[in-house]
Amino acid sequence: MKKRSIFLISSLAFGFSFLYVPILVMIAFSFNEANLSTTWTGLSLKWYQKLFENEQALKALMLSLRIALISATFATILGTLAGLALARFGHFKSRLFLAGMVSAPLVMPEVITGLAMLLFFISIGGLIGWPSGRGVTTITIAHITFSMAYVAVVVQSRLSSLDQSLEEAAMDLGGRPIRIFFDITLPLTAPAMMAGWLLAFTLSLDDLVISSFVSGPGANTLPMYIFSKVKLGISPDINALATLMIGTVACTIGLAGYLSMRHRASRGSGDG
Amino acid sequence: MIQSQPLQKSKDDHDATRPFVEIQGVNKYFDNFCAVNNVNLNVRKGELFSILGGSGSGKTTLLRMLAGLERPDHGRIIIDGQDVTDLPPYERPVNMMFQSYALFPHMTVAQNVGYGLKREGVAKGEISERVEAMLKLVQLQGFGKRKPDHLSGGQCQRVALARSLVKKPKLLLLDEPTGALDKKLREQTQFEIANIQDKLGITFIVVTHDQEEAMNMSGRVAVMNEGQFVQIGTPHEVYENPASKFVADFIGGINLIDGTVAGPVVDGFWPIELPQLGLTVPITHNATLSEGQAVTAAIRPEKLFVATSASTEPSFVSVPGVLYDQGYFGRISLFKVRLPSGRIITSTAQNRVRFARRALDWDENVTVSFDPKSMMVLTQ
Repeated sequence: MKKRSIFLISSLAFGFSFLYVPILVMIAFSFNEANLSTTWTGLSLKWYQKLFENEQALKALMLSLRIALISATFATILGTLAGLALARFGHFKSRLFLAGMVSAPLVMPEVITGLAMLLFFISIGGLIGWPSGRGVTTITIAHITFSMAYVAVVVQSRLSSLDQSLEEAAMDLGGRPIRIFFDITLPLTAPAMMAGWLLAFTLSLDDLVISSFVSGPGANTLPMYIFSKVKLGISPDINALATLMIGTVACTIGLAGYLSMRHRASRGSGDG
Repeated sequence: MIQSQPLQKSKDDHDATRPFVEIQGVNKYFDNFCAVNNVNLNVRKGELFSILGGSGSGKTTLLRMLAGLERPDHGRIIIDGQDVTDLPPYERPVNMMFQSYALFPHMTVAQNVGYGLKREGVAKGEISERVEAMLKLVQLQGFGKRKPDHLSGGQCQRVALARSLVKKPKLLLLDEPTGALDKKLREQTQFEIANIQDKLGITFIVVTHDQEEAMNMSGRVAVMNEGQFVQIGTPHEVYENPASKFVADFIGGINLIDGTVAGPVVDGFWPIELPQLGLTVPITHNATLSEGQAVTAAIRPEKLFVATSASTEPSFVSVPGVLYDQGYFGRISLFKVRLPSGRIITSTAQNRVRFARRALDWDENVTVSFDPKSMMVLTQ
């Protein structure tokens, strides 16, 4: 093993502290006994208790989870179909253009996506009368839209690394195209779809900007609730809530990473 | 067979006259690139036929058209009297063994082998029986529950073979069947595939770039270049009587020497003047040549003998030269000899004796001897 220089070690330490010290401070303060977030008086779980008595916060949490579940599921279906088309359609003329279009929402500023969504919902509501107002439905649709791009990218990369002769072999052995999709393509793409679902779930759970644009009266997601509370002054039970959210997100991201890593490992040994 | 009923006999006659696999004027373009150019081929029932060609020769495209994975732009493909040109892969009585084996990684060996039967709607009990029998045939009994990840390359190859044979196809296509195996295993596997083919009597078409694989396994070989067959024949015909310089060079090494026809034919031998050798050599040739015509004389390296003195065989002719380079391959040695004309010719010799006579030295004066009967004339 090569001895690493002090410079590299300190750069790493600095980078990571820059990223994680603020979060660690917040987590620490969620266990603080004091009423103010600025002084440390002792260890306590009282803010967690307070949080679970806060019906507004719990309502927002339930709404966020509901939206995240529905939007992640639809985003996975649509994203998989898009990924499938991009990976399997062969070399049609505008393939590169379409592939770029699918991944563009990944780098699109959220403010623009949110504004565009809002304008779209208003004008289509005026045209066909649906959606009649803004609320849970519009938030869910907006979340599906931006998170499906992530799923498409994940699924497409999995599919293009999949040996196409597997599907050809199944066809050669008497499988009809639909059958092959369920026998071969789907089982081999499932880990990528699962990873995509988890990603979409976290993105939806986290989103504040787009939700704020397309939300209506009464439809407050958890990030929106937290943000509105913070504007009035920081209450330590928000620290507790945020800590719980970080836990959830970290778990899902970890699971997604584990799934795709396990897959890579099994593919690697399969090559040998 | 002779005692059999007249009806049966007439059917046999029909089978004997009608080729089992017919490829009629098949063309395939990819954009503007012509991958397969007006190919015609007849393969007999129960034959092990090889298509030999370099990369980009169109051999794999032809195989994929037989499997139904590509559609020919023109022409028909007929298997056992049935026109399959417009049939999708899953309706053809054809199975294929893929170069990458294409084993389903999420299924066990038994599920892989049984997949074709399952899709055919065969009863479960029969599937497991036939899978077991197939695994026995490829000597993989007891491997049914393993996943492809946990098999060696050679075992994967056998699973792929078993999977493609289990449906008892009329025609089995093999794409570079031993290409991914190491040299020793490759030879052994070639014999095994040929034995299995013999046992089952299924018609095999093998596509390969490996001339040894093609020659070793098959009854007939077609050499393919730029989308066309350049020669079809037994391995012996293709090797000893190549139709063109391309075939001669592609199948094994060969010395190609420019020459001219020096006179009229005498007893079937044409006198060919070979300035590079400083000789005029009488060579047999079936077709008529004209005096003064430019031709190519060709001789295989193993038919040239390099020694410090000329061969004493009365029919042999010899040319002096200088040993320019040599290589030792264990089984054979390779010599490159520079002739007085500057031409370098290649010779190989089997190392038959363990303690050989004094080895030849670089820059040593040597003599190259050969039997003129080993030389052939190529006109294209």
